[in-house]
Amino acid sequence: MVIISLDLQSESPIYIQLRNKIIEGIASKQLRPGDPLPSVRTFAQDLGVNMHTVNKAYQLLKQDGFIQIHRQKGVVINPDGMPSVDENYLANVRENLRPVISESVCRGMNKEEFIKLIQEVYEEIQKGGEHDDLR
Amino acid sequence: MIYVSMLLIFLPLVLITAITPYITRKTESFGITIPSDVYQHPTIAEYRKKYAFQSGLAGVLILVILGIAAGFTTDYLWTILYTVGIFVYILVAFIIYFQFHKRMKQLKEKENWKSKKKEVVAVDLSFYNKKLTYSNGWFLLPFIITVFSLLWTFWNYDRMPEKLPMHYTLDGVVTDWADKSYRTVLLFPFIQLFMLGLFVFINIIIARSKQQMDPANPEESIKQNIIFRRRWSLFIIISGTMMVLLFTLPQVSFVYPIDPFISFIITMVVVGVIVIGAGVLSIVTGQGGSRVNVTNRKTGEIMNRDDDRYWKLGVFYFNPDDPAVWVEKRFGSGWTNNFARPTSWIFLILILLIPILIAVFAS
Repeated sequence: MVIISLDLQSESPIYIQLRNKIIEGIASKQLRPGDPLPSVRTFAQDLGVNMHTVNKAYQLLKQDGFIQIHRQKGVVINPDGMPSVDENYLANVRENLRPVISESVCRGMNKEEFIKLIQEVYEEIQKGGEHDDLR
Repeated sequence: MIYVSMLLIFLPLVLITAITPYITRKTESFGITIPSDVYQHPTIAEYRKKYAFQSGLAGVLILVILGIAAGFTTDYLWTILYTVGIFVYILVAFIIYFQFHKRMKQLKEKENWKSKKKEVVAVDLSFYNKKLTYSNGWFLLPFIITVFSLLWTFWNYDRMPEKLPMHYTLDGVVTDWADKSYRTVLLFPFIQLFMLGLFVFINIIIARSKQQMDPANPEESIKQNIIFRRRWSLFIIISGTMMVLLFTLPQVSFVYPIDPFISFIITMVVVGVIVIGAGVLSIVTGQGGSRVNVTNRKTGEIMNRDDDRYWKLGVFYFNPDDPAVWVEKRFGSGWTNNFARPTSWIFLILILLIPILIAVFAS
């Protein structure tokens, strides 16, 4: 059972949260290549959000190659495999990490502690499966 | 006889109204979203008790008035009075509910639950792949009954009398006769067909309506919700079949007259079983399956999404952003519409219009 949960008070927009949760689902192997995702309509109905919101998340996922959207088969996790780590993506990760690392440094976190934190989160995601924990 | 029908329909209505706050989901109370772990809060428990008492008392009072009136009025007048009484009761019960709705709103602001909890919406991606309802194939039986009723009508047309009884009082006295024609004899088979369509439609709604879970207890609330949907689906199939079967009765009586008293008894038994069945099912299962026992109920830092602003007066869902047409009722048992969706209105109008058209066609 794959449960997707969204924080409605979060500052990050719903479509970004939705995109990230689905990618996390794939990373934790709860969602596997070829697995179906709900239609835009059903997803929006269950989340109680506008269909545009879900559509936006799906378009982002499709652009990056995480999902495929078929007319008949519907939405599926890309069965042909995941996008690769290319230069573009690496540059992106670097850019995203900078402010996070900077703030951690300012707050007095040393390199080892930061790397340990990353390892913990990495393993947490890979383990996945904590369905009940929706925080 | 009048008293029997009164007790059979009015009493269960009063009972189910009075206990409504006890059968709602743990995530809402009097149409207000609450974190599921404050459901047992002493003030809310007191509201529930007071509401049950007040609405129960109002129901009993109206029942007594109707009972006394039965001794003084004619059957015809009393039937009207009885119908009015039911509507008055529904209105009074709503006013009582609304007082507690307002108090609940104030309590929620005072206790500040929202700032202590994180508001979350959760969705199970494979929810609709689970077996949520019983197959529409079960409606084959009432369908065969309806077809039989149609064919039987054509075969026996010549044997039916020139004047057909169309309307009975509660005591089984014929008050309305109609001249025989293909249109008039087709009234009941058409009603059967309409009911069949309606019940299939409800079964589809039960399968497709919006997924609603308590994010504080995701797995448990999903299990409860599946049980809730399946039980109501089964109820719809059984009661639908009973209703369709019941409407073959007047059709048969056109050719083989049935003692009005016996057909009254049969009607009352069928209606009684359905009404009481619905009541028992509501109590045992609870709205959304909230009364189905599941293990390890957790308390936590999260609460279900607060969509109070879309629930007008706490009972009418109006959310233009939400594509859902059918949603679970908040205060009550069963489902309601998202009134912001035109589809809702189309279906509501059709459900009202088709019986009127059938009646006009037959007259």
